[in-house]
Amino acid sequence: MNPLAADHSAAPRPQPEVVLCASNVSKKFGATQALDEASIQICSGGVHILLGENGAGKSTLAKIFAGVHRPDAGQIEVRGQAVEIGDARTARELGIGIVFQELSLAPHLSVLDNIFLGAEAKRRPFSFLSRGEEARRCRNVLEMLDLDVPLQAPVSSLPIAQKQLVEIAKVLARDAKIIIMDEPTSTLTDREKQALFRVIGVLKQRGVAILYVTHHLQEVELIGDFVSAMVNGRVTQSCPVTPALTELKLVSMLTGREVREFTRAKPRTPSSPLLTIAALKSKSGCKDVALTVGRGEIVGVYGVVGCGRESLGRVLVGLEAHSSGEIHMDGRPYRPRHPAHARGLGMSYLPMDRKQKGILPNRSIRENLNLMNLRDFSTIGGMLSRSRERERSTRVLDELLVRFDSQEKPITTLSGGNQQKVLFGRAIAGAPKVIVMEDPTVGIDIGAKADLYRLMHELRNRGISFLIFSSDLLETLKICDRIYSMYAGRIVREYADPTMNDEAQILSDILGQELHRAAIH
Amino acid sequence: MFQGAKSGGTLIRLASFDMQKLVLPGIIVLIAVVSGMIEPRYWTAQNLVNLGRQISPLLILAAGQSLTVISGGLDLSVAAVLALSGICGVVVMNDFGMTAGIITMLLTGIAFGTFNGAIIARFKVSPFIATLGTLSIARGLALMIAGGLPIYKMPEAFIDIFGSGAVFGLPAGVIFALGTVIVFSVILRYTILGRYVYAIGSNTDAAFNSGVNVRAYTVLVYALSGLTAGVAAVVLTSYVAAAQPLAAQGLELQALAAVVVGGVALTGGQGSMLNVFYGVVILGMLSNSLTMIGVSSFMQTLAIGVVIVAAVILDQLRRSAN
Repeated sequence: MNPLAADHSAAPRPQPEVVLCASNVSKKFGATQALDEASIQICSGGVHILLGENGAGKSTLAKIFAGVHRPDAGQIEVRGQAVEIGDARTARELGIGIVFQELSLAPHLSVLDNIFLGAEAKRRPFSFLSRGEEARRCRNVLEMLDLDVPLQAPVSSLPIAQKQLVEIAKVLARDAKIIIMDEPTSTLTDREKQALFRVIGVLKQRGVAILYVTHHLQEVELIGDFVSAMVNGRVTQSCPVTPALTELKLVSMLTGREVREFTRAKPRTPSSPLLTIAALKSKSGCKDVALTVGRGEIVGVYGVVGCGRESLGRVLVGLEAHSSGEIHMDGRPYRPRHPAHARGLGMSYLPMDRKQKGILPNRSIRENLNLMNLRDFSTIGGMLSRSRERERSTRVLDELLVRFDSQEKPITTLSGGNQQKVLFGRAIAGAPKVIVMEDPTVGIDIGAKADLYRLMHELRNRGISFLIFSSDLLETLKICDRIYSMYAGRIVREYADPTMNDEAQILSDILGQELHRAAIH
Repeated sequence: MFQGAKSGGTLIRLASFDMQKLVLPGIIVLIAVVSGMIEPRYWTAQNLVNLGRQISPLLILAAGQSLTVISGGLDLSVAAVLALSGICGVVVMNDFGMTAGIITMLLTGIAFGTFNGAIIARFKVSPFIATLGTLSIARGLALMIAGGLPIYKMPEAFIDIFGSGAVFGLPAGVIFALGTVIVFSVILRYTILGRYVYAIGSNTDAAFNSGVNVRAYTVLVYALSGLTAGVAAVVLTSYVAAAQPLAAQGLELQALAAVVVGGVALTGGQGSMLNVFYGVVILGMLSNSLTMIGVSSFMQTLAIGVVIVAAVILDQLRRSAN
């Protein structure tokens, strides 16, 4: 499983040395102490995993190394020399490169322009660009990453995984010896993750030191040589990665406490079908989809990006009309014209990209929560009853275990997990029959995840159905009563009451490996 | 252009790519042919020279405007700065000579542009509001210095060389305009500044994180926009032989319209100088042709509005088709 396993037995490499070291670094943002005397040491030729829940300060530490933030106190050393990293250029000159969590690419610019953006050979504004030389270096780097993209293609035309690789190419083109990766796999599918891990292996062999920031525990075992955990702005523990380091140990490192693992209760008696889809075809990718969702059932559809699951979601929530096939809800034909119509028919939707498509960033928690059900609070004159709205908000926020201090504060003052809970509260308003969710727990911490899973199952037990499109197979296996695997616009197979044992089969389903599977059985 | 020209879809892409390249020149040819058929005088050298003179100030301002718009902003103050530069320049010219006056015009433009850029970059004010404010400041200063009246007194040489001078039949104003467009085009395509302008407009945070000094480059962009106001002041003041405090009113919006007709997205990050040039020519030809054909100026205003709206809709359709 470990793609880098061979590395441990490889020919002797130069003795690792400490290349990057932070001692007692502190940083405050307003009233928030993001870093509280954090210390860490990173060695060359290895992958140092920095674990932490959201808000633990790991991204802040990474950004201090990259020159995006300046520390309030503490010292940074690069190869034994005390340094001050005031801006991105200084970081680059010290050989530090960062692969940002939110991609730092300019979408309209070409691959080539992006890779050298800010790192041109000359510095004066009216100097001419040395495009030929840049193209040559660019090709070398892309070759090393095994990335075959046209240099002049605008970055916006690339799929997300390739953007991520361009982002890495950008760092490599700057001759980085220390590479910081901030949650690089958050938007990747499993197959793309494997490709990234392979690249990390190559970099490691070249003696590059990698600081890998994540909250995915599985990745520690997969690629890590060393692991540090951050809690509340401090690095609390550091240790080498050995087989003895179990996932449970990591969880306690990560949270500083024991976390109650979520386990799915068996589905109740077979439920009556609520939503049935037959021979569904859509322009954007469904070729022949048939599935059913029962009343009070959590159903997952799992497949790689582009397999048609996004398209299925779009059809169901009314963003796109299907070209042929039948959808029935509650025995009646279902054909939503737009999301508001879909909602009226009982179909609620929690979109994938929380920042872009979910929250109203400048508006209060209350307004974000009650966006869809304002009619519940309207009075005879058409005015809104603020008091009834507050009352519902207090009740729902409480039920959803949202941690907040005032519902009038902007939603952006909440952590990602709490924001997602608020959006969940928005989606369940007005008694929907089915809730379609895309990647419901991306970028939120373990505690909030477990809370959301529990909430979903409570609602399931009250008869609300869920259709989950998640890129996280383990999550899908954990929370769904039934799973459909999907490949190339078609449903491959159905798994009732799935368990971890179904993982391998589902993975081969979604890659379309029919023959391969036939050979095994 | 595309290095990965392997797939079968590339041909189609190249075809539609070329089609897009031909749309704006096509419209220009269409306007020229139709106008020529209705009014034969259209094709006289005299009219073409007139057309060139008429659009020169607009072309110069549009070059600067392209830079600000591609960088994700805009500059509403250019026309007012043009008027102020003209007034200041002529006042200096009458006391210290023509060269000092011209330098004053250019420096006034650069100074105001730098002021705009500094406000926008330092205080993160939206360019719309910031330049709306400086528009009024510049116009106010121009009226105060000139005492509200046009200044007609200026060295004869200034009018002779820059106003009515010509090289091989090309009026000086047209030469200045074409020169500005070519210089800005080279800046956008081949220099570090050009790459940064696109990058800042495309994604400011990405540019900043990559090590681009976003603040300094934003100031530079507006300074260059201001410089175009100075250059346009030289051209316009010498051509009309007067420095008017209320000169060029509304020209900033025409420049913006030309940039949009030229397919530059107001959201920034994309666009080309050549297309902006076409945009200016289209708007200029339209107003010139309608005048020659005898359409009333009221009707002209309306017609140009329709063209702008249609251009934006077409552009949006093209974008979503991609």
